[in-house]
Amino acid sequence: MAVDKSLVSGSTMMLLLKLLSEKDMYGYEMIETLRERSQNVFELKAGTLYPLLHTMEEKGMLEVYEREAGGKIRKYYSITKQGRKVLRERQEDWNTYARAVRAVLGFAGGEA
Amino acid sequence: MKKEEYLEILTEQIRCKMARGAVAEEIRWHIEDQTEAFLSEGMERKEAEEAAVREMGDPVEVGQDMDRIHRPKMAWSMIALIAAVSVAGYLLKFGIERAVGIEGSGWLRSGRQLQFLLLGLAVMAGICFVDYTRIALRAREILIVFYLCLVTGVLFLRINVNGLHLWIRLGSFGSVGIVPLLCLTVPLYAAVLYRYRGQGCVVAVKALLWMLPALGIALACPSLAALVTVFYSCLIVFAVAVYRKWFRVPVKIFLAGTAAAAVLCPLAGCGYIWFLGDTYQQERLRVLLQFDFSDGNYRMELVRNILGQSRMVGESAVFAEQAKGLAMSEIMITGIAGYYGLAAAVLLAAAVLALFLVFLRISLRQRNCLGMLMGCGCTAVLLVQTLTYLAVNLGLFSLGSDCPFVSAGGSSTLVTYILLGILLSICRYQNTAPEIRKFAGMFRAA
Repeated sequence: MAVDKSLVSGSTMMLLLKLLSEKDMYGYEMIETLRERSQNVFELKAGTLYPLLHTMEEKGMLEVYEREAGGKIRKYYSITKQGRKVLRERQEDWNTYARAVRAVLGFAGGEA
Repeated sequence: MKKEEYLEILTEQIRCKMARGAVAEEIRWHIEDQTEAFLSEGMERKEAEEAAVREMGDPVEVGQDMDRIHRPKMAWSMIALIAAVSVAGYLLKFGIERAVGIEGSGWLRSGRQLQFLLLGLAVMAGICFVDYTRIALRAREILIVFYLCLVTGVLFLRINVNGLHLWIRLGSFGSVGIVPLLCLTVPLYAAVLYRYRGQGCVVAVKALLWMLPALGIALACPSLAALVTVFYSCLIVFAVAVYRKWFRVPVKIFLAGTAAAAVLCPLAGCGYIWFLGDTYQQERLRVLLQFDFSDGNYRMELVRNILGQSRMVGESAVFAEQAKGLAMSEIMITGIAGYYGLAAAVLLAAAVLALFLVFLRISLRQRNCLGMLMGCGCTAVLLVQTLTYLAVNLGLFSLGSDCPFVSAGGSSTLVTYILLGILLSICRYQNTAPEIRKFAGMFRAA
């Protein structure tokens, strides 16, 4: 299913933080998990993902370490305390936004 | 487009060469994962790799994004803070020396100090452009050569002043202070500890052995200030490495052991002097331990008199009467309190401490482990020096120590700016030399 990209782009950071709040992942794993969970709606390009991950790491939201998995060395990302704080803020913003959109569109209330 | 071609175009966009390797490696792993996924869907290898590369997006765009992130960034705010504290320290010092009427020669002359201040700032600017991570590659060799140079200097080129050997003669270049040079061993010590990450309990012995030559040289001078600065700075560096779980050791036991060493070693030293030392050493210790400076130590008496009667703003009568013609370098903060008032002394001390605490915070937040520990080493030296100097200036004890930005001395001024240069280099390259910990949990902070 295709959706307007502008809806997706602003929330990519929040989605990545959400994935990493559940478990540490490497880049390729994040793209795959995001695709599966969103039922192919969010098909994130690697060229978008890595600069974003590096920016988040620079801002202290993520930490990085190397680990061997399936016979290969992979660069894993883990969320920091700062990252969890940003995730909470982004989720609150998103819920406020979603409630407002539903209200305007005339749907009954409920959490996003 | 082939994988190697894609990676070459991408990394060419990243201007900082030291950042290219890690970025290329991560992207390469991603392309390989994607290629395998396409292979499992039934594609041919060549077709799968090309499709995986296409999935990556435009290499120029990705490379430019990476370039923006992985670029050396000058810590201008810290440079401005350093410059401001340097100028404030110099001007206050200059005023004090004029007030007490010292027209002496050598390091105490303000013009000479200005030269060293400017030279120090230039050296700092030069060092902050140097990639500090190169030091780690040869840390042990550099520290051994440095120790050998110091030992040679102390044995053959020392200058004897009243039984103290605190300077090394450098022919027509003048002389250089041994105490400031010993301070430079601490960041090198940190770089050596970095090489021992992942080792077991034997690391405690190694950490001690690498510290011993510096302590031995400090004892040979002899300089209690150097002994205190190097010993406590190295202990702080070791404790930080242990706390960050760099070594396979029981963290709590090792931290408790380090704290015990910090308390027991000075006590053991005092005990040795008390029972086995020379008479003059025992006398000094007695004065030090009783906090009684009334018999003989005019400087500590002066410190207490000035502080006791200083005003919040403006010159105190005690300073005007008693400080004329005296060398104030080791009690400059007290002098500032006496001449300008307590407010100026507190402000200067707070500014110097705040600057170093900010550097400590920056160092502890470094992702690069080497940068983190070397930064802690540099700030530990500067903080220990400052706190010791402040204790002397509060009349707590007498110790011939130097203070960054405040006390006089060409060598100590230059070493202060070398340490600041290393700290600025760590700030500058923090996004270009990110550290990758080998395994989750092994090196992670507690």
